[in-house]
Amino acid sequence: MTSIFLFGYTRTMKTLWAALMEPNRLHIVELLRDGPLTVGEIVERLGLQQPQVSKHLKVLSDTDIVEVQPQANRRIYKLRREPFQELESWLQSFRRLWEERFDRLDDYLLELQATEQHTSNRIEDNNV
Amino acid sequence: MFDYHSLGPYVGEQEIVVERQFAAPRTLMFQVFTQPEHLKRWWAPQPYTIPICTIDLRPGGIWHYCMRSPENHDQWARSVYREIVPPEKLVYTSTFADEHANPIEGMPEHLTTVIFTEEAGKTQVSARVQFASAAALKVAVDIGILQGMSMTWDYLVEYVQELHNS
Repeated sequence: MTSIFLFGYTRTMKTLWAALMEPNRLHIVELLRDGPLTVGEIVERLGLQQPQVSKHLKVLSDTDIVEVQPQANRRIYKLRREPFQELESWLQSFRRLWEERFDRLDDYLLELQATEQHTSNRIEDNNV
Repeated sequence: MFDYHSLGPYVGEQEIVVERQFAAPRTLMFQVFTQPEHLKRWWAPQPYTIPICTIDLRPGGIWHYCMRSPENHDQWARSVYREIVPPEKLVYTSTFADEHANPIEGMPEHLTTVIFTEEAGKTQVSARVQFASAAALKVAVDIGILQGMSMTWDYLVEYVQELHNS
């Protein structure tokens, strides 16, 4: 279950990650964390040119990290919650992966020790 | 209600620590973590198997393996050893890879530190997983938490609205 989860999330994780690794886009995401903003407000706070900001916003909306809500003649940008919740679950899947791994290791060690016991008994038998 | 505490104490720092005590001496534990014949038997979570595992146990050496699902879907992973102190410590970076051990680009790499501590014939094993680009991850995780909490509020608002309307 864990591993299916871990592997299944790679595609979403890859797009989310690629988008967030660009510092300006990460900055936009940080700004939107406090609430929805218009392009104009983002341009003003980032101190970048509008075309540049629009380019980054397009990447963020193509990857479903932000959504756009038209309001009168303005376009309001807002974070979508799903990709971030997926990322958090992905992170948690590492903990579950190690817990499961340790369970399996416990069983394997018992098996190893049983084999060892068996072998040493046989040696003792042979020595008699 | 969104359970803040279930995130555990380490996620906030973008790392995860999982510990357990095993009834085996430290030298055996170290072998079990570093020899392909052992790893094939337990490293993959159920119901996955590890048909192929190669290890070059030296700093900079590669540990490459394939995890196979019951449906015969293969997922390759690749780790590079950073530090090897038998039988105490193992440090490696990991990422998903292809069958030729080329890493898959664009995924956050993670660093794992495994510490083996012997206590009266038993061994305490601590695995710490830390993620590259912790700054970006921190922002993203914080948003995940915030979104989770605000979702709870959304449900509450809806519920109150429903109560009010009925």
